[in-house]
Amino acid sequence: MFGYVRPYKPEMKVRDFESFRAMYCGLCHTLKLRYGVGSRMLLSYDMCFLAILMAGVTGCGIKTCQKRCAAALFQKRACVREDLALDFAADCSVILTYWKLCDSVQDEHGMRVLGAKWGAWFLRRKYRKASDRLPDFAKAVEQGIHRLDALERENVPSLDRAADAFASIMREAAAGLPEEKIRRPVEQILYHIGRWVYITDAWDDLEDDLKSGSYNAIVARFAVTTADGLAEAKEAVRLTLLQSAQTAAAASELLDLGRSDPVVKNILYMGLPAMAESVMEGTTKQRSSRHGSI
Amino acid sequence: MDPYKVLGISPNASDDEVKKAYRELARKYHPDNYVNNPLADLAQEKMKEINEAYDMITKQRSSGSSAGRSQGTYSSSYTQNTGSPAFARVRQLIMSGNLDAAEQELSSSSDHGAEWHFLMGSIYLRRGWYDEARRYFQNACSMDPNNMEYRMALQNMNNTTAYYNQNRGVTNGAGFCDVCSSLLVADCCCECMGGDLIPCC
Repeated sequence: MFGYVRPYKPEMKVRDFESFRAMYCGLCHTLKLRYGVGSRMLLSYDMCFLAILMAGVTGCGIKTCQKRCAAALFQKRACVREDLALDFAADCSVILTYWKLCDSVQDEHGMRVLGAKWGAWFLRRKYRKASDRLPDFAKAVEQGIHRLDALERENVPSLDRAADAFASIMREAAAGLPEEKIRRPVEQILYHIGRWVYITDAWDDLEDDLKSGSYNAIVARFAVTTADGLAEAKEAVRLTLLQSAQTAAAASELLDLGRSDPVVKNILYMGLPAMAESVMEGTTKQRSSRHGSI
Repeated sequence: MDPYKVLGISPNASDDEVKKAYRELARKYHPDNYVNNPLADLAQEKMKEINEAYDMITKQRSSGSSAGRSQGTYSSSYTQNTGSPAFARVRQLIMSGNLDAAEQELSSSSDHGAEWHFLMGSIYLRRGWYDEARRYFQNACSMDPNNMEYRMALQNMNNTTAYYNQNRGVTNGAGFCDVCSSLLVADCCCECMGGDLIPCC
């Protein structure tokens, strides 16, 4: 996915950071176990957040073990053992990435189409497996991506309407939670995380999209034509991102998140604003990796 | 219900600790943090639970004498209805959370005045479409600059809540520590010049 939803490390306790990393490693191993070695490439911070949130809500993700890291072969790392939240996040990763690639095949130009085509082809069997496991979610993602695609094609001038299509896809991930008192806050967190991710990504792609002329929700909303006309948009986007983060944080206060609590709070209260700031100031792209470990 | 568990403290906690835990939680679930939030009902439930727990503890500790918490401090007072009767139904629908019906009713109306824009903004606000909401509130304010309701709505859109800011480590203006440290600095300056501002240090 995108890799924007991550904790703000300077304000984290060491044990919270370790539990975050154990979940991250756990997701990597779960992807390998369920979908083969190649699917480790689908690992992302965003889906790790989903796993942590779901583990907190359902009370799993407690047992850890030591496993060798695929990226640093000589190190053994604490790693959350296979459990329901991780399985769920792994299935979601496959489904979301597959549809994102299918979408890119239609929207992108040049070499990227080739890459996306190859990726979608590589994932087709894994997708079939994942969509058998989560049929409702797979269907919702498919419909949501088509809705988003239609909105982007008609060049919709509303930032919220475009972001809503994506955010609604994320919200669907909570549809399986049985208890209403838990489901509603989780839905709100995921909806606003989705909205936040969509708008942050739109800002990140702003320059490229202005050059290539492809759809960008911020360009369409503020009718900007050059990178200089962004001053007014910047303030509005910064504010709207903060408000989504705040709404997600307020929803998280209504949940009993158990061991995941400090990590989730760190991400919602500090991780999102810090990441938004770094994307808006253009310092994210200088960092070496968007997906690797912190 | 174990009141100590609700407040997240041990039964041996001192009265001050109880009060502190209660205040902390009351700030967290205060209606101000859930204005226009679809989850306001859940927050209210939490608030009720905390109030009950606190009352129970104070009652137990003072063995039946008067309860410490003043009643009704945190009841919400957000029911304003100052608009024209034509939109009364829309307001009612928004209050009850039936946003689709409210939007439909609004779009079938031919009067696109300031209140229409304000109500449209309110619908988007409840949905979490903050950018659209701000745009509609701005329209409402420029059409009717003297309406306090519209101006308040727009002002709220330009800020995040104090609770969120505090938790992300941002404080607005001078905090308590700033006041103390400025006093100390002033004292040091005075001492350098031969005077004294705070005699004890």
